[in-house]
Amino acid sequence: MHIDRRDFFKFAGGSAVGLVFTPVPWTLLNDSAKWSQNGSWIPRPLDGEIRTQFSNCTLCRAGCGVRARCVGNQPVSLAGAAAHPSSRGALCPIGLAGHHQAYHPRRVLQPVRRGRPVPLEEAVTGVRSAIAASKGRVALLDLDPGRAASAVYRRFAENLRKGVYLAPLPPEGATLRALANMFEKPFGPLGLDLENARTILSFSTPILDGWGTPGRVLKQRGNFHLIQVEPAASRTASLADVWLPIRPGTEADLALGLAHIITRENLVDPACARRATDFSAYQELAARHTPESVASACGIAPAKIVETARYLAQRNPPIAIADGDPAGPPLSEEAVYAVAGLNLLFGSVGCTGAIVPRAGQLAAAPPDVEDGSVDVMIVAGAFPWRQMERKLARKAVVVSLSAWPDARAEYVIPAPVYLESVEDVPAPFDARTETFSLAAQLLQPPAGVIAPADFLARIEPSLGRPGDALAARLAAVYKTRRGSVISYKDGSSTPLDGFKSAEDLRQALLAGAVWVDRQVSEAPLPRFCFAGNGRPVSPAAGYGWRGVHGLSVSPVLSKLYQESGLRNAQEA
Amino acid sequence: MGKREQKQSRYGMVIDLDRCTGCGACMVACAVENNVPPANREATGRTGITPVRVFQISNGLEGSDSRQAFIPVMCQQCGVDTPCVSVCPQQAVEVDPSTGIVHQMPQRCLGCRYCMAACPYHARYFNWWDPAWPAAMEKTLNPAVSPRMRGVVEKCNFCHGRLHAARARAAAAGHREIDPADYQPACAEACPAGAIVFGDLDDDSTEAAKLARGGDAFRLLPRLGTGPKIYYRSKRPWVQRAGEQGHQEVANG
Repeated sequence: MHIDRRDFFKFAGGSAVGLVFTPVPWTLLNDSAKWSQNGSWIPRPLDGEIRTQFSNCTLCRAGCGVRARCVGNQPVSLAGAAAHPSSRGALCPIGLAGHHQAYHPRRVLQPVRRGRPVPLEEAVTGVRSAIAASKGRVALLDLDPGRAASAVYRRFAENLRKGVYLAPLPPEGATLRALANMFEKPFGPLGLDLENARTILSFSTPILDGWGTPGRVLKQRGNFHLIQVEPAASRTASLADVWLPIRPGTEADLALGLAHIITRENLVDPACARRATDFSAYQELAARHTPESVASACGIAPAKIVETARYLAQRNPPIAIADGDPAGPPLSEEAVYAVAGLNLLFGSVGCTGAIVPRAGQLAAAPPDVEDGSVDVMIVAGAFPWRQMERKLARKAVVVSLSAWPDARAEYVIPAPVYLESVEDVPAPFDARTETFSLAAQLLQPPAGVIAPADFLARIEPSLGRPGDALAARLAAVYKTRRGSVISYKDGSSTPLDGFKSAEDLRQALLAGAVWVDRQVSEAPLPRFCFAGNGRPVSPAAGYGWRGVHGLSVSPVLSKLYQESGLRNAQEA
Repeated sequence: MGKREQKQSRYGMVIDLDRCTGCGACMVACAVENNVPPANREATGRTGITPVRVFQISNGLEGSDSRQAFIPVMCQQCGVDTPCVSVCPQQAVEVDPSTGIVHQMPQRCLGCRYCMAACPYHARYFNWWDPAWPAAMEKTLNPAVSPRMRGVVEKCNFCHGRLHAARARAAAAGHREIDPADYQPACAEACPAGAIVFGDLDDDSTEAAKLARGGDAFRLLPRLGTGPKIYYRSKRPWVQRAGEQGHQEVANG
């Protein structure tokens, strides 16, 4: 058969037209699109059964309820547990990506001595020798006190010759600590009744930027009027109803200036005058802080000071908070006490909608040690050099029991991260009532990681099993026979009496639940002294955003600090 | 009735700017839900991927009168002459008539970025790099969403994986329609301030529909007539003005 040029073009043209009417080009296009977007280097998500598990966040002290979506046993996303009475279904950005912690590229996965990996046995022997050779103090620094593990740390320190258990002041709650120090008799751990609060007067406290239990504060935002006193145009200042830009360091003057108006215009809570042991001295102090003198110090107009004082008295009971910014320099002790005193002046302590006592016992203040006296510093967490370095002796050995590297520490012993161990979660400082829950273990810690309490037990075998401390905490809660347990799954509430044993309670809490104590009914306010007992209430230096020290946040938070400029890198 | 009729919805959001504190929880929840990778070392605000992005705006005053607001901006799900749909040469963008959701199909996308140029809200993002997570963090990816490859455009699709999952659950329970409470995009679920309300704007019983009709509701750049399904609320006139003028013009000075 002869094929000439004309036949060839006819065949080619016909084929081209015909091809369009077949599925071939479209299938090829579709397949090539899929093929080109499914390269072997593109990560493949896990496949498996989708399950829901519950836990509690331990990344900061708020202890929010967590609902984890898991593929098999692997958490793939976290969200707030709506039934949690305090966090109310909210998590902060750090908590939302908390399941990335375990895979963070900075994570330390085996014991390190001065940057060099060492076997665990060598680290145990090294730390034991350092303790034996020390002539000064051996300190156990607990950065997250009040948990079951804290009891183990305390016991470890007490078992040592010259051992001391240290727990620095937490970054938040300075105002409530100052108030507790003013009472002659213990008046319970104090909490905040934010659900009924109408007015908050905040001194440099990031009320709308992660303070307290963020979900709780932000869900109530529409219900309270916020007056922010702060030198910087912070996020909270720019979102507050009223912002009073004050000169730095003059917070105490302004607080006493407000007290001046309140006492001069007879707006003081009647019970306050009766119960204060130093009321006349306080009045004299306030009398010296006239609006004019305060205005020249703090840079706020006298009329504004008078207006603010009258407004606060009219919106009784206001809550005055001077916790300062956990990431910034703390407020002076005088400022915290002066602001805390305003709450007593307004009658905001012990009443609904303000500051309320919780059923429970105040934690004893841990001892302090002289600067330069610690030879061996063992830290449950990453050592806060900026705050605590002054406690170290020359050539001190720092042992960091943490998941994150520390170039200046002698040893870093890798600890489990969030979701890798069972931990107890006590009530946050702002809680209305006592609460207790457990953070469930949703991930297996990698080989080489050892819990701080287990590491200490390797050094001092007589410490016993660390799990016993948690069992003791559970038994103590169970013994109260008060309050109820709220399930995260369906929000149902079961009285504590309904549990047959502490083990039953443990199982329920691990499945996702929180024990909530009963609310304290109106309690008579004890006598108090405005000057307090002189105990410090403010931390020595800032901790960092959300009041967490030494945490490496998920790389996904680069959305906030790199790809949008919403926050700066230090905050994240 | 011979033919099964499916309920027509018009999903949308109402965002209360007076409640938004700019915490960024919506951005992080979105990234986790939709397998958006951490920023490449070289990524910037222009080249990064933030399907929901919170802009900060100011009232321009000084001293104690200075005030800020935060505007979360995602795909506005335009309902009228959707600009990205009309320019896409690949038909990689389409509006689902049953939900009103504007879908981006990365498999069809050839990366020409016409849609990015056409979008008046700058709510579309191009994958300049292959998606990469730190080693082992890939285990935390959401199985309902495929990671996108370098060279394609992506944007907010109201967490379409969640809509599919809600439909599957409804079907398994023998229902034809999903339970509205069962379908919430990740940002609406995560917002700690409760500022984002999601729902069917055509269903008068939903909170979103009621809020969208409120006197303080407004939409971004209404003069363009694109009929966005994202509504914003604020009682502050300067915030409303900023939204109507263009949040980016205000945010960028």
